[in-house]
Amino acid sequence: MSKKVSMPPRIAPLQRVVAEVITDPAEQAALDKFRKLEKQKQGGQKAKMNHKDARVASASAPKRKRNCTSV
Amino acid sequence: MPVAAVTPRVRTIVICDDVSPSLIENGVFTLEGVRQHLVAASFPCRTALSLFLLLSSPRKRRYSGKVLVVNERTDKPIRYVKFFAAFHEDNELLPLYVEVGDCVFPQAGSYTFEVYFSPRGGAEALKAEHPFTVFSHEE
Repeated sequence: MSKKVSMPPRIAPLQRVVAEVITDPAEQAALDKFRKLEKQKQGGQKAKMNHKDARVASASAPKRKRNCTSV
Repeated sequence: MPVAAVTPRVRTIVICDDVSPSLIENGVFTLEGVRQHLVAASFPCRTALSLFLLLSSPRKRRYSGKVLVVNERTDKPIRYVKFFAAFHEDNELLPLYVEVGDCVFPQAGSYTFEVYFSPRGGAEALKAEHPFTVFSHEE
């Protein structure tokens, strides 16, 4: 059976653009708000992951044996 | 569908002074002045920076892009710019040289170039981040 050969993507000619400065305070504020929300989301996900990791670690960790030595 | 899935993918991001396409090979480029850092004699330091991006998109479409240069110490952008990237065919790789323009660095430290894309009328998606360090000449 022959493998399906995927075509290499077409490479477009180089485009040069001069970026336009965003000076509108409202547009800047919208971007700031978006960044803040994304950071909060990522922070929440990280915290969730850390919590999950801790639960998995505690569940899989071998129970420590008590070393009781009576004198 | 999430916004990130319908916006271009950033395959390469390089901060450089200029780019020139090869005269004999299609899709081959020479980058000049590729940098990861900057040494400033004094602050605030004003310098013009540009990005070479290699983008890919499964769809023929025009996308709105934004570049933010963020001061990591304050988490505040020092530069906000926007541009357009036009894909003329489906499944195309698009080499794009974006002149970000004058960036004013208030102090030495770590900065990040953040690249966002959004479909027409859609929400933004963070598609690439690139660290950049500004040193003081005295350091």
